[in-house]
Amino acid sequence: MAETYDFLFKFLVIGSAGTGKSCLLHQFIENKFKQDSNHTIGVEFGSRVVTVGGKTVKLQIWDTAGQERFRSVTRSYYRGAAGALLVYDITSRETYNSLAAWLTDARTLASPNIVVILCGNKKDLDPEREVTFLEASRFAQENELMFLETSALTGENVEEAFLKCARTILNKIDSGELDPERTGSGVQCGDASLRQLRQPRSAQAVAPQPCGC
Amino acid sequence: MASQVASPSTSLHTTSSSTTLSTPALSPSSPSQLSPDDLELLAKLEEQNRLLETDSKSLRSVNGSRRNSGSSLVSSSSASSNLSHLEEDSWILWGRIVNEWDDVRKKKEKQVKELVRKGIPHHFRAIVWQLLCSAQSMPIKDQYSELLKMTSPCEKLIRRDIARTYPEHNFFKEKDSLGQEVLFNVMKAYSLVDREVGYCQGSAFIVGLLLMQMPEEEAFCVFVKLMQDYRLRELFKPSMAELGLCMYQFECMIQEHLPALFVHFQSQSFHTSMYASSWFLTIFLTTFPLPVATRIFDIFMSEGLEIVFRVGLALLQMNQEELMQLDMEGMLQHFQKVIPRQFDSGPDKLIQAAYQVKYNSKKMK
Repeated sequence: MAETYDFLFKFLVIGSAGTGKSCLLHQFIENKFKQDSNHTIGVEFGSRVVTVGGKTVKLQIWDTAGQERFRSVTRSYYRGAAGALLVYDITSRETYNSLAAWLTDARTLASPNIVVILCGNKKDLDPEREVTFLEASRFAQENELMFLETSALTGENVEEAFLKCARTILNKIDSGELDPERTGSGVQCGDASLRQLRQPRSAQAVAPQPCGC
Repeated sequence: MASQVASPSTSLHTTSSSTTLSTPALSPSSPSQLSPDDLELLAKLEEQNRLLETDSKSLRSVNGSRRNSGSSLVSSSSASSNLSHLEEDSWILWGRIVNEWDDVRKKKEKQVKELVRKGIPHHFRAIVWQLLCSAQSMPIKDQYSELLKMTSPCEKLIRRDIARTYPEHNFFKEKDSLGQEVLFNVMKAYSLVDREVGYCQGSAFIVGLLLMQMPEEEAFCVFVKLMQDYRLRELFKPSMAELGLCMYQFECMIQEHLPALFVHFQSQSFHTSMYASSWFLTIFLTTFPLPVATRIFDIFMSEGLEIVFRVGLALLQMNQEELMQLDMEGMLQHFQKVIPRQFDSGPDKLIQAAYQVKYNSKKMK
């Protein structure tokens, strides 16, 4: 069945290894904590349709491997992303310290206008905290990021993080700051013709044909 | 590089062909041929493999899938008397192969490859894997305990992934269990002997599989061999350039063998790395349930990375019709959800299909 939506946004989940990127994605898609999850090799993918400000928006989310050297693999997924969750682990200063590098990657490889929300994940592990809320808020402010502390375990603020990011992108479209028609904006309009693709085509009959775009 | 077989097998070496095989009808003049006994065993094995295939189908309907047993097709099916005969025969055969490894490998390479493709019996895996990659009597083994006393700059990174490697497997799932400890040890030891690669995500799945079969020192040696001689070191280097090359080579294979699918992938901006990176980096260990992945790994041990290209292409071939009807997202879901469970009843069909793939090794260089 074809899903109907007004817009499609391409999202990234980025940040150092072990910060809980895949668990955030899983919590957002499945509404539960992923108990036994492998560390991510390469990229993984999830999508969900949400309603924001009266519009239905499909979020197409790329979850990336966190180890530094995998950037060469994951970089190609940045292109044309409209939004990103930039994730660190509040119990690990090291993951916080590498935020600037991740942010530079997002802004240079995706788009300078990419809407980024900073997520201090593992909020449930407050006793082991190494990064204060205040400190991270300052970093967010200086770098024009939104900021939330999240817990993929309890689900706290997970939905909010994705929705907040989506809402900001919608506002930018409304205000004209972001043009969904521009290629590389990370936004697609969900008009009927685009949705057709989900319908099965007859596989045998279709001769290989160049892509129409 | 000479693979010296350790003492347990050399002691048995004396009971080789001349003494055990007493078939007066044949002249002893064909040393490179399989002995009549071996041939008979092989024929029996073939026959019973067929039996097993039919049998396992009926077994499955009664017992459900076997996907949680780590054992191979052969050793996991002792349910009927036929099968235990098969088991016995296969054990005798593999026992002989192991005992006369140097000889067998030189003279009967093709037959050994064929047998490996059918699956190494569970109880022989540890020794056969070590033999296949010549990991026996490596000097580096003596350094292992010293390495464990040292500190590696990668420790934190390794530690972070330990609980996220086979988290559902009994051997690894408990925090601070033996499994987690030895996995950490081997990863750390390797990061110390190869500072350039250090630790790379993905490699722990390979080491974890080795540790399910053998003690940590042996697993360490096998891993060192795999990194050196099986292209893995290149794949895991910080630039990961070799992975890019594999993606490119695999793409060329798709274009050549499945042109319609290739065009469909392109029209959907569906890139090879979206689904195939982990195939290469973990030799399908993060794709399939262990019984299936272990069989593929058997072949990897005997024939190298070629099997990943072969299985990969076979998978696309088998799924082509469905993939052609899906958009990018549908295809991603198909790769993440459908394909991993497609061979729960056994990987034989997949392996057969993989060997029907035309693989041009000259082009791959």
